[in-house]
Amino acid sequence: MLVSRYQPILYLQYLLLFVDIFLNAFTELLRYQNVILLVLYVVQDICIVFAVIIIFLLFFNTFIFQAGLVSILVSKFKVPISVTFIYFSLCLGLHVWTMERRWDNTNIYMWDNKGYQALFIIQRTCAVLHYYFYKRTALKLGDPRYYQDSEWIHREFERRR
Amino acid sequence: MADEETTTKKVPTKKKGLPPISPRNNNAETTDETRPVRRKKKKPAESTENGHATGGEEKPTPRRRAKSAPPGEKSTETADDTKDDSALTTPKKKKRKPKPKPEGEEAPTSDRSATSAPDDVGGSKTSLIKEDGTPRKKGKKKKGAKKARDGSGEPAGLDDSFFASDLQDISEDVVTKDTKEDEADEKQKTSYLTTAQVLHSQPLEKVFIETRGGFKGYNKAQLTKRMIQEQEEKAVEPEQPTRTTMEFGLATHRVFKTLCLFLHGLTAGLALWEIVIVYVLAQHPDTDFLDHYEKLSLPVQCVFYLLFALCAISACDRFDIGNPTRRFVVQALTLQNGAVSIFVYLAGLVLSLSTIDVEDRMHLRERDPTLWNSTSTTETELDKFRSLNTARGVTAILGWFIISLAPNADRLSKNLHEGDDEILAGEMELDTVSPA
Repeated sequence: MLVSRYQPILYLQYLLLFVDIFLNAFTELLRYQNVILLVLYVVQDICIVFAVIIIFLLFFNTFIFQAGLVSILVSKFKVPISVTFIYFSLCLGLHVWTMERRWDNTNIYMWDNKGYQALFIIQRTCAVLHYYFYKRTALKLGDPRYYQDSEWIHREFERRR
Repeated sequence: MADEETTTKKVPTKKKGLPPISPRNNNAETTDETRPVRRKKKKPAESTENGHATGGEEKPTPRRRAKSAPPGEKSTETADDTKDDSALTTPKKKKRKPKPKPEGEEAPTSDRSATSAPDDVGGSKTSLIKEDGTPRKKGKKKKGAKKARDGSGEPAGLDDSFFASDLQDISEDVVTKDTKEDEADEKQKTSYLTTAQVLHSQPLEKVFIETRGGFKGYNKAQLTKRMIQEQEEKAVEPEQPTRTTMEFGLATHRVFKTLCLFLHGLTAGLALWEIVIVYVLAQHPDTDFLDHYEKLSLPVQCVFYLLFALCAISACDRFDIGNPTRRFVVQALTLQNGAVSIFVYLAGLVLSLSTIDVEDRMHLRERDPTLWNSTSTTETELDKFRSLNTARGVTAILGWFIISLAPNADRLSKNLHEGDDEILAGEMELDTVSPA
């Protein structure tokens, strides 16, 4: 892959991660209106979806994938993929629950429900793991060895045929 | 008179060495201009007779005398010469000639200037080679002599045998002359030579290359050196892009790492400040504490989340928990490397998130004062907050301390750089082993 092609992709991934972490940190401060809060949550979820799409487009671009060895790719990146999906579902759940409780009054005190606080803490902690694994995957997919033919791929292909 | 005639003729012819040449060229263009010169020649010829009488047959000597002797005549003749010359060519070049050789040379000057043109046309290749000046001039002179026969028919026609003997002298004469005339001659010729060079391409030392400012001359040797250098540079360049996607990724990672190294310290410093502030405000009554701290509570919570998250990511990067090896896990569990900092920071993150209920309660105190109505809940909530806040601050400082013990630890970039092959190779080995 060319640097000129990889560079904007990596920057876009960093941007999506930054938007995500910023919203995670400051949505509690930005609860002026329920609509604003809703838009912020939607933006955050769309960011996660875009990040996942970009990662998968990079997967499709690798030589291993194009050679039909999808299982290798999946087994290599199963941890980041699963963490991302878990994080996305946690985000979605938390956002839905928050909007449901705050829609009438954004400044309601809602930490009496310990389940909500537990979900909040798990989601935020999982976010950190998601950032780490996503960043690592993005950097790893910059490795030119994924995008060119190699002896190893040939042997792998022969074995699996 | 007859003797005189002969002597006069002898002298001029010898002198002529050049004079007879003039008429030869006259046929082309300079008939009008050279005629007056020829007339003058006769005068100087008479005057130089005296010189010739003393000098005898030696050719160079009379000329030298002619140069030195007639300064008076010069003044008169040079005036005419300059007129003639100016009509012919540029005065600069001519002026030199008239001065040293006013009488005998005038004609030649005009001659040469005229003759050089046809000569160059005839033998431009030879004329371009300056080292071969003497042989070329011999030939030229002979030609001139031949032409002198034809052109200046009057003296040649009188007695050929006499003139033939004279011609031999002329050839010698010319040879001696060459040394003197060479410089001036060449200068004259330069004008024609340039045209000759344009017409006949000759290999040059210089190469002319068009730049923004026009054409510039470069030495061939220098140019070849530079071209070789450029080629080497070009050869070096294409190798870089093959590695740069990885290197670009690692460069961004290094930037992030440097930024996070700063954030580790900032988090620790902010945590310390937070602890101090909370304990200072704790000296006051609870309501006083809430009055002061309620505006600060939620922003501090948000900033702490951001900082802890970034620090935890950085700690994970440094010790790359995504690629654990048995050796690394053992080292981490026995606290031999700084991997504990990951757990410290994650603990700090969880503690920070755990305080959000109290902090949000403080944040909402303005809008909903009922939240802080009962003194018992206030006391328990504030006690919980102080302890959690202290624990959070301690984890931040501890994490920073562990990271600062090995600030250059960067296992992720190392693994990215070389580890992938190992992973692929390891996977392959496992795969090959399992079916067998």
